[in-house]
Amino acid sequence: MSLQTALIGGSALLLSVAALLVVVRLVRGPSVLDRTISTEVLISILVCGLALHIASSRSSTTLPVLVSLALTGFVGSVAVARFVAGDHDRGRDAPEDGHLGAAGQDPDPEEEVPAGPQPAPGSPAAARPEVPVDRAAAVEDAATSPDREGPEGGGRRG
Amino acid sequence: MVEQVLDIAGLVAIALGALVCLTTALGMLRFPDLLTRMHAATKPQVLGVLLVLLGVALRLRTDLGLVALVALFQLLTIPVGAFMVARASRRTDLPPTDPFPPPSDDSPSS
Repeated sequence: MSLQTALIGGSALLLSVAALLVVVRLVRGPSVLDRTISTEVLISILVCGLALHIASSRSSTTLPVLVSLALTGFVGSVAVARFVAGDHDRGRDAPEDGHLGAAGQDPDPEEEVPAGPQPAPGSPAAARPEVPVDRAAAVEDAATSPDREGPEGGGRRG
Repeated sequence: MVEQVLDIAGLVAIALGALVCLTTALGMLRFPDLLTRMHAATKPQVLGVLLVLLGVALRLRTDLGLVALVALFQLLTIPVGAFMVARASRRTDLPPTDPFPPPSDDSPSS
């Protein structure tokens, strides 16, 4: 019994240290994408912690929480990734020296932020990317995902 | 006897998964680039979670369908998020670091 308690305590300690280090990366990460993958790893560590609780208490009441976490954990990273890519696509028309925050990178505090066309992140211009770029993204989406081949592909299969 | 062996084996699997998570956290902290950090970040999301779920299945021995469902959803949804993040990092102009930098003075040589 003491061996089992030691294993459970050691696993909890390892997971706690791992979560702490990931939170350090989450705070320090220079770009938004770093923080995004940090939150994804944090969700995975949370899944591991809940599974450890299930295994230590032998009660399966927390298993639906695990299912929902595993099912919805990727939504935030997908949303942030799309937002960051759209943010840069709008900036491609900007002048060369106008650094429009590539990948949402933290601006250099010593560098003066250019007063170019950089709306606030909450404004509708930031949420809506340019139309041709969006169309190119849709074409690339259709080319890379095998499930969206169009209606005729589904008809052939069915 | 067999149940005790299964319990110990499940806990050892969970400890291995936690060790994988700790290794990943070290990689997330130490690696210099977004893509290398993504390389480190995929380890707990697949290997760590699967090891921990194997340990849970060995120890719980009931409700194995839900445990398999967690593993299936994790394996299905993780590549979607990783693909989107990698595509966003390619579309934005993040300065890529040299994967094989020339040896400098501060490189660990000892």
